Amino acid sequence: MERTGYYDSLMALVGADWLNREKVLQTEASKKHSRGLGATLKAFREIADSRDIEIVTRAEALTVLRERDLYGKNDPSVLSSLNTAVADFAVIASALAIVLEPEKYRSAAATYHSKKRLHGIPVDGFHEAANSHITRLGNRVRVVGISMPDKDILRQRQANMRIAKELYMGLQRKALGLE
Amino acid sequence: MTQLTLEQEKIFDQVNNAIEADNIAEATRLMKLLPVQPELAKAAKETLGADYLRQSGFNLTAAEKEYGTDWLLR
Repeated sequence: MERTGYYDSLMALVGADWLNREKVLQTEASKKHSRGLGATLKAFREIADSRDIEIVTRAEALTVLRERDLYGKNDPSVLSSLNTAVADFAVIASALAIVLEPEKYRSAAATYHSKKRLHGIPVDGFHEAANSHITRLGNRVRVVGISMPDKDILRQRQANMRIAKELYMGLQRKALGLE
Repeated sequence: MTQLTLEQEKIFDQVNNAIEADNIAEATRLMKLLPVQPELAKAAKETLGADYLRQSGFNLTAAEKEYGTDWLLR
């Protein structure tokens, strides 16, 4: 093929891709999908407003497990990240179970060096898993071409994880007798 | 790809109408008539528990077909 032929093909096809994309976004199905995502965003906000750490963390765990099994099935390239996310939520569930038993938690907390503490509170597995997940969600927000409704949901999920951390720190303070 | 029957498509149209009207309770009621995607049902079993699923009223027929009729007991 002539050199210009390669460029001509690419120009034509990415131009057509964009036009097709715009057509898809104008369809009734796409508009319904956007409205549905708006309702899902509200559901995540209501979950945040519950200020209940079990509701917030279980909702995100459900979402992550579903994503792994739905998207990982056809796209092995995302499986590693999604498996790590699922593992993070297993850590979060374990940490939550332990912090609710003050005696157990105090023993675990005693093993943390001052460098791994924040205002005297251990930066434990819950914190690390939550921080890791917040970063992971943030990386997804920055993917080019992702829709605004999808970005809004990802940002709300990040906000929910920050609330979960705040609630968890309250439980840590309580378990450690710091309240 | 999920295939809905004609009847199920009509119900799903009503779901979308309910969402547009910000009537989430109605959307939820109608969605319970449609089979939950197996992957979502499995995720719910693992995070919210089998008891929640049994009592939820959600249609678990697709999950039963995928994972077996005794899947909630395992």
